[in-house]
Parts: sequence; structure tokens; C-alpha cells
Amino acid sequence: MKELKGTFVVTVTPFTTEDNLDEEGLRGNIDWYIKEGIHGIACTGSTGEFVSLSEEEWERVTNITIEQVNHRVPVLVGTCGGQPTTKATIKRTKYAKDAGADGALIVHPYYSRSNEEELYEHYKKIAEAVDIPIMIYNNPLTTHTDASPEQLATLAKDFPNIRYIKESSGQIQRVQEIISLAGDHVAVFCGDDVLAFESFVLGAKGWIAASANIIPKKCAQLFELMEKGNIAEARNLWFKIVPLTSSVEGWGRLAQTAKKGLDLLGRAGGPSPRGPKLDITKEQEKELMKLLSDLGEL
Amino acid sequence: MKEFRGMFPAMITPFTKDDKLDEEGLRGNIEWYIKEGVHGISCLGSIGEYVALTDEERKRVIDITVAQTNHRVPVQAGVGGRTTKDTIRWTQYAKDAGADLVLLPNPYYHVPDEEETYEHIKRIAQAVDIPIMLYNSGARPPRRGVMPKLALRLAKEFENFSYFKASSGKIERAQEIIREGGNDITLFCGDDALAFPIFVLGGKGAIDGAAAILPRKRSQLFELVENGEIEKARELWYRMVPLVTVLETGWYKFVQALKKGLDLLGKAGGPSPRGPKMGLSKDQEAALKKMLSDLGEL
Repeated sequence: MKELKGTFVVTVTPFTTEDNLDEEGLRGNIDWYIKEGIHGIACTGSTGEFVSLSEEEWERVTNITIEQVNHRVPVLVGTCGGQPTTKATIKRTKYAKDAGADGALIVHPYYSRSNEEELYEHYKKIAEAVDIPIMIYNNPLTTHTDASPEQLATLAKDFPNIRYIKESSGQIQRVQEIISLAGDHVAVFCGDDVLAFESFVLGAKGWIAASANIIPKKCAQLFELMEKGNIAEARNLWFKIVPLTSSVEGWGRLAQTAKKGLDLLGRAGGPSPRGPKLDITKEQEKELMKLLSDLGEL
Repeated sequence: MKEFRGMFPAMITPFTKDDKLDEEGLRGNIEWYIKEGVHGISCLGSIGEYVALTDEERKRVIDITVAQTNHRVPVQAGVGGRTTKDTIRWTQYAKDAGADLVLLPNPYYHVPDEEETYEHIKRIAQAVDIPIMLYNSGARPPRRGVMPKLALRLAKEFENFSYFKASSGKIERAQEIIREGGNDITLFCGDDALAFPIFVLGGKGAIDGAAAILPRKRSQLFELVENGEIEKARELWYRMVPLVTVLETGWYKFVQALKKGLDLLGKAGGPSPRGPKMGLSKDQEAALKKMLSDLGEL
């Protein structure tokens, strides 16, 4: 089975001014990411506003992404259900598999604050129902559910298709604890744009990067330099891009920042994300322009 | 001015059975650390229980440490006080006693705001001409601790405020200081569970609790990274991750574990720390024994 690794862009979902899916824009962005050297595409994640999409839109984004990528790089599809239930998540995970996804990115059920036993049963049922590589996405901020390294290690050991963890708790210690407990069973992907280099140093195999929507080439290069053991050059590159990646992460407006950045670069960002999300402020926009121009992107 | 670098064990302060300072034990530990290849010695940090010692005992610990080390490696003395004035008195004492640099904790209990912190550090830096390492503990509760921007400002203004011991548990803060600090400030790791990634980021050393029981391996870790042998360093690192994880966040019994570890290794740990701290549970002691034996130390 193909091993997923490297920098994956977690794509924004662009809308038209009438708030419809901007299909052409999405296709154009995908071609650009691949041309810039990205190692994989992850659609309908948090940055892809999966929570704000209708079922039909979610299916279309999934199909368009897989079709447009056309096996040039692997595709991960975010399959957390339209309702945050086990059943709805299984349905989408099956859909993604049938559509040709290389893996399913599954965030914890949001809203319901699952306890440890509930979370275990949730992932168990999904893993047993659908034979597709699963990346568990630990994002305590958005889901109010925090899977400990011990629990993630247990899930990875119990279910062979739980093969990846996207760690977004913001604590680098978690990356090394998961690798220490279950590094033979599961690959850790960084899920925090502030901690990519540090995660690679510790042995993370990939990065699900929101920042890669606007600086895909540099985000991909970071992984390639690390993989070649070019640590000093990787650190130099990291220190150059981390002011931007920290802003993307730190402003707490990931989709908005990525969309604005795409617009500034002449790609398909489109209007503001759907409410309640609001656009970045005028000041943040100025700062973003400066950061992109410092990096030679504007 | 001398550049300090490398692995400094954060020494415990051993007591005798009748709760007196164990001077011979302290001297023996120092000899062992130097023989094992440490790059410096640090006394009277949190791990040295400085808050539980009388003034007389604190002076003895500094005097003994300086005399026993006898310029073979640099000596750092902790100078935390109850007030700014008290802290200046300890800093002056350390300088007169022959310490090479001081470790200045955030003032405890007061919860100073940014302006108070600035004034506190400014007065100490102006009063005593000795290199100062700020000990930035206090990730918990989160509003304590010195933020990178304040540290960078102080470092620009005061030449002897030149080292930062990063103990907030948040690697992105250490990274910011390394990235922005230039020649004004040198970053040391102060979190045993982050030493390896912080060295790779460009941290120049560590004030390290685990080095009080694993002086050779912790010193080797630093040297491997310094020599660019990242793979070997990572391999050594992951052997130590289970131990440093319980030390930093697993048990909240840091001093107790180090004292017990020293006893197990035939060095001077001595009885439980002074109250309210209590010793390890039997289970924890068995786990510690197993970890030391997995590391080939027992």
C-alpha cells in the first residue's frame, strides 16, 4: 500500500460571489499546487470549511478534487459527517473510498464532547466499516475532544487501517509521545503550521498545511530538505516562512487568511468564507501583504 | 565575555537523614557529573529546592559548588528571591562567590505584570555585573511567564541579560527567541522533554533535570546535534523520551524522581525532598527503575 508522506495542502473551498462553489477556481488552484511541487492534497478539512458545506457540495468538492488531481499526487478527503455522528462519518468515508480517495482525514465528532470510550467506539466502527487508510485528526480546539497520545497509540495498534495521526493540539510534546508509544504502527503528520519543522525533526512523516494554500512551493521544500538531511538549510527556510505560518495559525482565521492570500496571488480565494467566519481585518490584510512580499511572493 | 554552551545538570540539593545539607554527597555528585562529561553545573534552581533552603544553606550550596567544580566547567547559581532587593543580594553573593553566571527565576507568588517584570529584571541587571539567564518557568497558570518580546527588549537594553532558559513548555516561544534574538540573547532549553528539538532549532544548551541522573547521555545528545549527527541524536533522544515525559508532565514529582534516581545509581539523592513535596509512590519507583535499566544505567 502506498505510504503517504510529505507536505499536503489542506485546500480552501472557493466560492463565487453568489456563494456557489467555484468549480473552475478549485481546479485551477489544484493545478497550481501540483505545479509548485506539493506532495499531496487534502480537501474538505477545517480549512476547506467542511462544516459549512451542504452534503451535495461536499460530494462535489470530493469528486472534483480527485478528478482534477488525477493520480498525480495522493488525495486525502475529510470525511467527518455532515452530522457529527458515527453513521454519517461512515457514509462519507465510504463515499470517499468509492470516489477514489487515497485516505480519509477524520476529525473527532464535534459538539458532542466524546469521552474516551465513545471516541474509541467511534473510530473502531469506522475503521471496521471502511477499508481505507485513516488519518485521525486530533483538534481539541474545534472539537472540545482531546485524544491523548496513549489513546491514539491504542487505536493505531488495534486497527491496522488507522495509519496516520494529524496532531493539532499545539503541543509538540504530543508528536514525540505518539511516536515513542506507537511509531511502528502509525505515522504522525503535523497539523499545526507553527510546528512543522519541529515535528519533522522529531520524525513526523508529513504536514497538513493551511499555509501551503499560499506558499505551496516553500512548504513542500521544507519537507524535502528535511528528508535529505539538509537540516541547516531547512532551518533557514523555516525561519523565513514561520512569520507567515504563525500568522495563518495565530490569527485563528485560517480559511480567511488562506483565501485572502490566494486572491492577492491572483488565484481563486473568492469572497469571505461563510459566516460566522469573518474576513481577516484590514490590518491583518496589510500584514499578510507584507509577509508575502518579504518572501518574494508578491 | 565567555560563551556558555552545552549540557548543565540542574542539581538537586541532597539532605542527610536528619535533614541537614549533605555536603559530601553534593561534592560527590559534582565529581561524577564532571567525569561523565557535562559542560557546566547549575545549582539552586527549582530542582535544587531553593525555596525550601535557609539563607545559610543556600550560601553553603553556592560555596561548595564553586569550590568543588574548581573552574573545570562553568558554574551557574540560582538567585531567586522574595523581592527585587533580595534577588539583588543573592545575585551579588553569587558573583562574589565566583559563580560564572546566575539563573534568575520569574519572581514567584507575585504574578508580576509586564511592567513589573521589566523593572525587576532591569534593576538586577544594572546592580550586578554578571551574565544573567532568565528562567522562564510558569506555563501554568498561563498568564505568568515572560513573553519573547519582553525578553528580546530586555536583552537589547542590558548587555549582561544575555541568556534565556525556556521552560514554558511551548517550543514556539523558544523558536521565536532563537530566530529574533541574534547576538543579544542565547537560548537554553529548560524543558527536559524538548531538549532535542530545541538544540536542532539552534538552542545553545540546556539546564536539564534529567542530566542530574543521565549526565553522559544528555551531554552526548547535545554534542551529537552540535556535530550535525541528527539521526544518531534522534535515536538517543527516543530512548530517553519515556523518562523525560514522566519527569516533565507525567508525575509532577521532578525533584523526587531525580533524588530517587540518584539513590538507585548509588549517588547522593537522599531522603524525600522537604515538605510539602512527598516521595514517589511504589509504582512510580518501580517504573523509574525499569526506565533506568532500559537505558542501561542500572
